[in-house]
Amino acid sequence: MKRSSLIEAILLCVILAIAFYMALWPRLGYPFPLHVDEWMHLGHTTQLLNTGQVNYPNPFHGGQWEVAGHPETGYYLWLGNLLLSTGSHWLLLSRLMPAVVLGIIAFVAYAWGRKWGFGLEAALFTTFIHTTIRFLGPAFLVPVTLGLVFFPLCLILLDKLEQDWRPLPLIMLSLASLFLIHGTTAVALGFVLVVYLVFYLTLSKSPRQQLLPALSCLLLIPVSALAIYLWNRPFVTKQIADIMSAEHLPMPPIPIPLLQLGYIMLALVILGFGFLLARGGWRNYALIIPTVILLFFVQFYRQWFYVGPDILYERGWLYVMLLMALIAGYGLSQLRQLGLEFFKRWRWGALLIYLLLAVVVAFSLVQRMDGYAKERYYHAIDVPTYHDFVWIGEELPQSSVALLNPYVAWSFVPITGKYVYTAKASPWGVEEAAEIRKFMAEGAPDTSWLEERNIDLIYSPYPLQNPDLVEVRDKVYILREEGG
Amino acid sequence: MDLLVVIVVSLALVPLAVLGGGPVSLALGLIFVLFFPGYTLIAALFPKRGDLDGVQRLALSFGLSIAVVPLIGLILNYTPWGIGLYPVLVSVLVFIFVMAGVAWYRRRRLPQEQRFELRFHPRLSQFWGRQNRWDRVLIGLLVVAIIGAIGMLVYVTQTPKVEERFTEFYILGPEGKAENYPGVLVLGEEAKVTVGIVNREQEVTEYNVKILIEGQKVEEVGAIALAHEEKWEQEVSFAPTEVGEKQKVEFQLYKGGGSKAYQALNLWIDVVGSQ
Repeated sequence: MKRSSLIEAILLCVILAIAFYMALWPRLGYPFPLHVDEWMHLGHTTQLLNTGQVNYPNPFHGGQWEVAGHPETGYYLWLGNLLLSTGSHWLLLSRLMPAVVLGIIAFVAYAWGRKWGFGLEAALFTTFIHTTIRFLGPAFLVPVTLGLVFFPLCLILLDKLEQDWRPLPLIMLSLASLFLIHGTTAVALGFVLVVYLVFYLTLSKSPRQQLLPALSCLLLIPVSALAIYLWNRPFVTKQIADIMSAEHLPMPPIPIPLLQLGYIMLALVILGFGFLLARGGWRNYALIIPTVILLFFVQFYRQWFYVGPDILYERGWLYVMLLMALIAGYGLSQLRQLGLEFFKRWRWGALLIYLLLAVVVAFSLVQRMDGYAKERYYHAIDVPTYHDFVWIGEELPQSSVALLNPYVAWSFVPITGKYVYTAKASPWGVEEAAEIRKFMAEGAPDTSWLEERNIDLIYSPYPLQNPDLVEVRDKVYILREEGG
Repeated sequence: MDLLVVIVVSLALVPLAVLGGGPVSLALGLIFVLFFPGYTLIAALFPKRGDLDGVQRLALSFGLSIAVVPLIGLILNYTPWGIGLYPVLVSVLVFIFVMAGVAWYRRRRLPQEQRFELRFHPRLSQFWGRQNRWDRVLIGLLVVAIIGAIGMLVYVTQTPKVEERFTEFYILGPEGKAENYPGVLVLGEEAKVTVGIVNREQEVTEYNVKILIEGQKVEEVGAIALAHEEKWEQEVSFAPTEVGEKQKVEFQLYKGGGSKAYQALNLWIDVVGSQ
């Protein structure tokens, strides 16, 4: 093994350890580290495994309506497969997998960047991608995070496509799978691939026969989407209709998350842009253009045109940050090369440059940690609540429908395996949550209201004094059967 | 060699996954889902040594595994077996076997020197002996870095110890389930419920349980000393002493000899006179 390869392997391990730590951040000191989206996905995955098919009764509301062709079915199939194959408890996988997935993203970014001389830098800055409860991110085990793996993966395949045909079916396979996992990410990746291929086809000086695989790929990208469209036409049609006439919720604007990446990384992004432009070439333009367009889309398009649901723009920040991480990596690598070139006649020049780079990386890491420290996360449930839910799952009849805080209901369902009257995530269902809170605060006096809604279980933080309810455990009330 | 390892490890996983749980099952399961499908697919498509470098092969193996597994699951959905433990294991296994078979066949058709193969150093001492001092230091550092990265991953999986102190207190119906609680009683009739306590106070704790009907104590159980995380369940009975509707039966839990109830549960009963 060459000495340089050894050093590179050591640094890669350190970067992977950083990735694992970054993904751990919102989970520090908290035993049930799931964001509301993660609870929701866990509920769907559990239901999919319980029924053994992709069309299943809604895991939260029971048989009232069926989930047919869920847009993130691919993710549930993947997570379900992991749960079955590892035989592990969901809680263990929930802690472990964000770290593993971010590690994979960083490693695939390394593999792509390595060919162009900035593998380690690309891997390092990929671990900096921010996670918030608004637009999610790699610290959460959610479909959009899993989808991020496909960006560097497809870039590697595209590079290979310049030489032969074999990556073509792999790109199609990846895109088709990504449409099943997270459609929005697939659209964003499709856009990046189209830009890349257009630049390659128009500006590359490759011989004509080498352009043919790329041209085929460009033409076939819509086919991967077509496959999912044919599988799930009603959903795709509905999504397009939703995007065209989205209901706008009173969501506060997102503070630009790029600031959380730290000023050093942002400076490196700008430097990277500069170097890419100065060096020119179709490959460099193919990295700059989609980044700029996506940045414009998530930051300005929303403000000016406000078309489509907010979630579209919020998730978009993740793709922007991933592409920016690659560009920052390029910027840092160019700094390194320039520095080494500048000091090449001086004996200690290389050492000085590497020391300076180490300082830059160390400060950017400190700034990144600071960015994470400023981010506010929440705990959906505490330890006693978890034990309450486990007990409910074990002791109460399977058919129960529970009334509880709609925001806590997301975690209630996967733990207990029971249905809830309603589950909502902020800012949805504010009025409904207030109504339920008022009903409980008044002691849940109206038995007929419960019966009309088939509710036979209440998890209430308020003491309930309705004689038709039996308090079987702290906060747990069951509706007495008629005549009981 | 590499394909054989893939097949052997995949086969080894099946009984572990069926039996469920454990760190070995977790590690093998992760490789089975996150690496092998993509690795064998890449091996089948790129059988030549120079097709891809080692790092790209590894990266594509991880990424393509994530792409392949959901599609296998979707295909399973349209089979009579559906998506369950055995169908999932068998289908991924079949995919790995088929791809490994194709890879083996395509490699066999290539001249020996062009075939992709993983090279292992059969004798560690020989390998170590060939390194100079600096390289040995670097290899040592690499081992430390690998251990560090794995250590960080293990740290991630460890559930943090939360020193939250609380007690689980509950009542179950006569059959030991949370149903059929006493509702209507005849005067003098005994009602039965199971009372349960789980101590999560992080220390040995002593409890008492009192049962009150309309504020009047009718039964007391205790003292019950429980170690941390110890569970106690016992059937207790009570008999109302007066006829009347909507009488409140209260189960009070006292902790550590305290005079104020620590927790209280309640149910209502109607008591009718005997015929």
